[in-house]
Order: sequence, then C-alpha cells, then structure tokens
Amino acid sequence: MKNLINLAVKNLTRHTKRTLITGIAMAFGIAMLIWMDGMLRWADNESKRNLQRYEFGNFIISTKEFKTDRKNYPLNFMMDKETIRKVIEIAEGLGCSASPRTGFISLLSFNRGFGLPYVLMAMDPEKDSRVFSLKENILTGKYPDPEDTGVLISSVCSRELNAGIGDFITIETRTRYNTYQSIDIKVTGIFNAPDPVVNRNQVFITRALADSQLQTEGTASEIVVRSPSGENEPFLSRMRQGLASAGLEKDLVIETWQDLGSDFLAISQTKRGGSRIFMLLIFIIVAVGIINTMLMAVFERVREIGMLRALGMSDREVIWSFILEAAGIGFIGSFAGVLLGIGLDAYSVYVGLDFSSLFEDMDIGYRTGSVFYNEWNPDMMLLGFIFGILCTVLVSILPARKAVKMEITDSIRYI
Amino acid sequence: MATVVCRNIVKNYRIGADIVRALKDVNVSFEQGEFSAIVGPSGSGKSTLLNIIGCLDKPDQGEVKINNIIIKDQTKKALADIRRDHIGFVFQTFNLIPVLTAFENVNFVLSLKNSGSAAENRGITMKMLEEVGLKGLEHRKPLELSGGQQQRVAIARALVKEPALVLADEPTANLDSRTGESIMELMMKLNLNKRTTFIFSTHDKMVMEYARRTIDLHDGMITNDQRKKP
Ligand SMILES: Nc1ncnc2c1ncn2[C@@H]1O[C@H](COP(=O)(O)OP(=O)(O)O)[C@@H](O)[C@H]1O
Ligand SMILES: [Mg+2]
Repeated sequence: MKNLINLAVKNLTRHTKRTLITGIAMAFGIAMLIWMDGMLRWADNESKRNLQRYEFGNFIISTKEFKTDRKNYPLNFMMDKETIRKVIEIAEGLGCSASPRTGFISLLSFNRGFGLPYVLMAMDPEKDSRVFSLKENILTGKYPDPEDTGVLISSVCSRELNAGIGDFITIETRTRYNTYQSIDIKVTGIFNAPDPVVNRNQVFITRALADSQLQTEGTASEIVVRSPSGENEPFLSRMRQGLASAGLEKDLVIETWQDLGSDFLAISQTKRGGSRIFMLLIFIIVAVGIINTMLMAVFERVREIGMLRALGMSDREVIWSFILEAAGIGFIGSFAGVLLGIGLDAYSVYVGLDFSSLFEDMDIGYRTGSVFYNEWNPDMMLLGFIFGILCTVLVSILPARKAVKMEITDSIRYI
Repeated sequence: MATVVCRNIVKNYRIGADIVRALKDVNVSFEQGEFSAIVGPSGSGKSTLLNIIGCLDKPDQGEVKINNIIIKDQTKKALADIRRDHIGFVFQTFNLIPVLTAFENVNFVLSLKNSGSAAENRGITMKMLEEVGLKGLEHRKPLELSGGQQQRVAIARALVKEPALVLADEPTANLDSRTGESIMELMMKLNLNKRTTFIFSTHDKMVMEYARRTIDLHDGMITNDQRKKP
C-alpha cells in the first residue's frame, strides 16, 4: 500500500496545473458550501431570535376571540384593565417581563400623499422595552417616553412617506368603538429594526396616547411575555397555572412564538431542503471535474499501465493507485476548501455582507436585516472535508476501472 | 526441466470480417537458462508468441506451461501473480514511469511482490541498478536518461524480482546499433550470472548473433530452430 500511495502522490505531480485546477474547483465548491451553510444558519437563528425580540416575545396572551381573528387586529375583543393588571402581575411574579399592546390598522400619509397601510401599535414604552428590543434600534430622534405624544416610525416608513423627525403625519384609523378617527402626530423617532416585518408594517405610539385619542381606556388586545431565560419553559406552564388559579383560563389563551411564527418556521424548513439541493449541485460539478481529470490521467498512461500489469501489478492495485490519486486531489481540494471556508466564514462573522442594495425592499423570507452574518459551523467544515474526500474516492472508481478494462496486449501496443 | 512449454499454439485475430492467423500450430520449449532469439520479419507473429508465453494473451488453441503451471486454467488474478513472480518483460518502448526515478521504477516492481522488508528491497534494487551499469544515476528520472540507459532501467526492472523467465520484444529496436549491442551484452551477462531464461524477438541480424538458439518464425509458423554449438 505504501508503494501505491507513493506512486499516487508522484502521479499528482505529473500535471501540477491540472491537479491544482481540479483541486481549486473543488475547494471553491466546498468553501461555498461551508459559507452558505454558515449564513443560512445565521439567518435562520437570527430570524428566530428576531421573531422573539421584535414580534412575539416568548408567548402572547389574548382573548380567545382575538386569537381567532388576530390578523385583522379586531378591537372588540380587548382585555380590560383589571385583567391586564392580573396577567402582568402573574407574569412578573414568574420573573418574566410583560407588555400589553394594541394594534390598529391604519393609513399613514404626509403632505397630501396617499395613505399607506401600517399597523399602529400602542404600547407602554417602559414595559415594552423590557420585552422587545426596538429601543436599541433608534436611528434618529428618540424612543417614546411613557407620556409621549409623538409617533415612532421605521426608516422604511420615513422613506415611503418622505417624512422626518418633527414632521406631522396623518394617521387615519378607527377607535375601539369603530368610529373613524384621523390624528396628526409628530414624528419623534425613527427606528430601523433587523426584522423586516416590523420595519415595513409597524409604527408605535404610547398606550396613553391611544387611550386619549383612540378610546382604548386602559384596555389592550394582547400581552406579550418574555421569559428571563429566553426559553418558553418552565414559564409557559407556570403561566398557564397562574391564569387558571386567577380564574382567567376560560377567557384567555396563550400562543407561543413558535405557534405564531409557524409560517416562517415551515418556510425555513423548506429553505434548508433547498440548500441541500445546492450542495448536491456543487458536488455534481466536483464529481464531473474529478472524473474528467482521472479519465485524462488514465488515457495518457495506457502504455504504462499495460507495462505495470504485464509486470504483475494486479487490477486491484492499479485501481487503487488511481483511487488514491483521486483521493489526493480530494484531500488537497477539501483542505483548501475548508481553509477558504473558514476565511469566508470569518469575514461574514465579523464584517457581514451588506445586501441592502440587492434586496432592500424584497422579501426573501428571513426575519433579518439586510446585512447578513455567518455563524461558525465547524461541523459543516468537518462534513465538507470528509464528504469532499469520500466524493472523490467514490467517483474515481469509475475512471480507475477504465484503466484495467483494456487488454494488456492492447495497452502495450497503444499509441 | 523446461521452463516454458508451448504445445500446438494457434492464435487468430479477427479484424472485421477478416481473420488474421497470427500463429499456426506453434510447438516450442525453452530450457532453463537458455538465451534464445525469435527471429522473423514484421508481422510474422513474434510479439503474439511472446505475449502468449508471457501470460498476457491466451491462445485460441493449444497449451502453455510455465514452470509446470498450466496457464489456461488460471484466473486473471493468478495470472497477474504468475507474471509478478516468474516473468520479466522488456519492451521496445521502455515504458518507464516518468514521475519515478530510476531507482523507484525498479523498486516499485519489487515492492509489488510483498516479500522482504523495505530496506532489503532497497538493497536489492541498488544492487540490480549497479549490475545494469546505472550506479550513480539511480536518482534520475527517465527523461534525464538516454534511450540506452532507459532500457537498462527496464532490464533492471524486469530482472530485479529474479524471474525464471525474461521476455524481451525487440529490446533494441529503438536504440542505435552500438547501444543495442551493449544492451545485448548486458542481457547475456545477466543470463550467465543468474541462469535466467531469456527469450527475445528481433529482426536485426546483429542482435541474432548474440543468441545461442535461433527460432525462425514465418507467417505464424516455426520454420527453423537451431542451437549454436558452445
Ligand atoms: N491485437 C491485434 N488485432 C488484430 N491483429 C493483430 C493484433 N496483434 C497482432 N495482429 C496481427 O497478427 C500478425 C502478427 O502480429 P505480431 O505478432 O505483432 O507480429 P510481429 O511482432 O512479428 O511483428 C500481424 O499480421 C498483425 O497484424
Ligand atoms: Mg512485434
């Protein structure tokens, strides 16, 4: 075996360029694989984090009626002040943070422009900032005070309305009693959250302002709860117990962020399938490269192979010598691929890739900002390395067998 | 005891609708230590006969025995082992492995045998290269050697495993006559030293002179078989 390995290594030096080109092609494929995987993982996990940090917390408590119609933000199934107080008390008793919110479907306009649909979210700035991370994403202006009378809009909204800090925008919506209401509010803050759904759809006012302008009178349609650990359990089950012992379980329901984000989670599953197809494609390209290179090697050495077989080298040994040679290319390619992958990963982990010019307003289905980062993925590096070598070994069997297919007498006469 | 026995060898090649009768009932034996030439014009069947004796090809009819082993009954793998253990080849084109040095070319064939330690094999290889007059050139690659030197490496490669039989198909055809002569002298010397059976083919008068036995082959038939008086 040692002599075969030696022969294989020497054979790799016959056409250094060809070996390198095949190796580089492979390295490129494997590096892309590692890189894409790290990025998709980040996007996936970041999306899950953002679902919690910007949309759903860990779980949301609302009335049963509200739950069934939540997409339409109904205003006739609110929780009253007393219920809200109890629920928050229970949640905070468990160490969780809880924030009541009410969403109003609205049209926003500025300077005689047409109304653009947004959800006007009424929240308690102090409580809300303990549940959600929006406060960290203020671009200009300020995050609302509890008694603020201004509106916090997203950078997307600011651009669409062409309105900035200090401008008064017109919000057309309905009050809790379904009467039409149009209010002019000063923009006091602009945020840019990493969750595109929030960026594109939500603007924020205080509950105090909603109470006075939209007649909510201390009610709210949902209470978002965030656990101190970030995990649902054991807080979820304790919350259920708490609601039950307060006699609230008949009217209220709890939905977890996984229930609420199930659309996204399902899509993220299929995206993973998609990335596997991408992997497969890369490896088909690698396989074609290896088979091509090895077939060339076999054909240019017909006479030598004939001679070695004449001198008693068995067919198995000949096949092995070619497989080992391919494995050598596989090793070079995989090793370089992992190195390159680490480099690309590192760039994406520390610097990130700004896709904002590419898909600023495009929905690519991830709840992330337009700067994409990577997660380190040592398991994928190992997998890519092993898979790369295995793949070359596997596909090289075909050309290697070709080497012993010819009759020895024909190979010796071969010109 | 005869090293090689060929009995009633017939070999036909089919080229499209035509049948080329390359060997027509060839009977010949070679004793151990013989130094024989198969002589005949191009196309007379020399290579075909050597290939059959060398277990590279099977006759359509007839039987070949090497060291009393009946070749017909052997599997592919067994044939490879027979070639590895008993037969050395030298060809007109040297067919050395260009990425290996002279030393490695010879040593590689020895290592296929899986006998002896690596150190022992290296010693044997060095001795063999010395015997073919390549001392000091063992680290050269084939392209850094002249044609005659390359053929010497090929001879060393054929002989290093101490085969019972060495087959050389027109070993001097690619060499100038002076180099050819030195190659013949080398083979003769090795034949005497090791009592290895040599069978070579040629159509060169000068080369024939070296043989102690000359077998004339014409159109696939032996027309003359004569031994020189010692
Ligand atoms: N593989 C082959 N296929 C077809 N014909 C062949 C083959 N090998 C040899 N022949 C034919 O058999 C005859 C003998 O060839 P060969 O043994 O090579 O002669 P020599 O070595 O004496 O020149 C020639 O007519 C040659 O054309
Ligand atoms: Mg010939």
